[in-house]
Amino acid sequence: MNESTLVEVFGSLGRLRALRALFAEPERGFGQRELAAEAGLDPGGVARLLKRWTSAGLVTRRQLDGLPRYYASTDPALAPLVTLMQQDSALVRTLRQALSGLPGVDAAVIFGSVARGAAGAASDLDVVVLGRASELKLNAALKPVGRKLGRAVHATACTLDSFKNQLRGGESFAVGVVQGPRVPLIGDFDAALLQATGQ
Amino acid sequence: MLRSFKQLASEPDAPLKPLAANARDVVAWLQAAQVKLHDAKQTVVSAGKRMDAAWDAVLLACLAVACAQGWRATSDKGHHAAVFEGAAQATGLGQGRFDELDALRDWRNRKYRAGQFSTAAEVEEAIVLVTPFHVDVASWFADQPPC
Repeated sequence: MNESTLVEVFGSLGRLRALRALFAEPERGFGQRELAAEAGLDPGGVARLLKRWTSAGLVTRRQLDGLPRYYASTDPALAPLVTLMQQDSALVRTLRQALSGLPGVDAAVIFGSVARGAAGAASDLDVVVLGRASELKLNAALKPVGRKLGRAVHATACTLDSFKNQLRGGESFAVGVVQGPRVPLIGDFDAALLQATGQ
Repeated sequence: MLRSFKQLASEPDAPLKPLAANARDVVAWLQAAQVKLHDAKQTVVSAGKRMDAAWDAVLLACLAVACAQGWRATSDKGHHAAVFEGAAQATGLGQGRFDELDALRDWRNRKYRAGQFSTAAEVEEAIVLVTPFHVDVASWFADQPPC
């Protein structure tokens, strides 16, 4: 879904950016000024939005070191909003852009704490890449992305056959990736696996 | 922007301590680095062992640079990263090549995950990265006044 469509749904670009910052990483809290900078809004406008969203149950307010921080609500009914916002977060766009220029990447997803919505601002970002890309080259190419995002990016590269064998063997890494939440980056991860298994 | 040994040592709990430069130690580190690179090329041992040796070849060369600059590493957490960054800054390694070798450093952490193994192709990639680094370190030493 492109940004202009989402702007129509959420009413304005500022509202979309503020909600996206909050819901793309639900465990990450924001101060008012921090959220205003992320959303490109003035702090006063963000304060008004946060007051409304807190009343509506979209956002929770917690005190940290004496200052209020705002978090996306963890109400399970809002989980689809997390999924929607993760698809087009700055983090995902940056990773997508970096991976799309690399050879041998057939499919890639984020997994782990970021995909589960359980990551803090500095949590590492775990990515699995299916294809023939070299893991060393992939991780070297993602270093600038890690610097830009302010968090380490760890990419695991597997060929389709290798990942399929890990799954068949019940290895915890592959099973965890497949059974846990994932944020798609490149290609269709599930389709690639089904194709590889010939199912 | 890569940080110098001095900058890295000023961080809280830095795994670096000042130590007077010692030419004999420098030579010993450089020889050990060469041996490790030689080990990494031995196809009769496992790819995992060769990858370990490839990274050690980088680390030991970096320890030589640290020693020449008047620093030693402690065994505290982060000493590989600190020594590598300081040596890369001292020798003028570009950010791109730093990232490539840093990915090799990261590999050490991933190797303990179940189901992860190295291939001969990965080791060859690592050797292609490490060999010119040794050349650069040797050139850097050639340009340094004797300690």
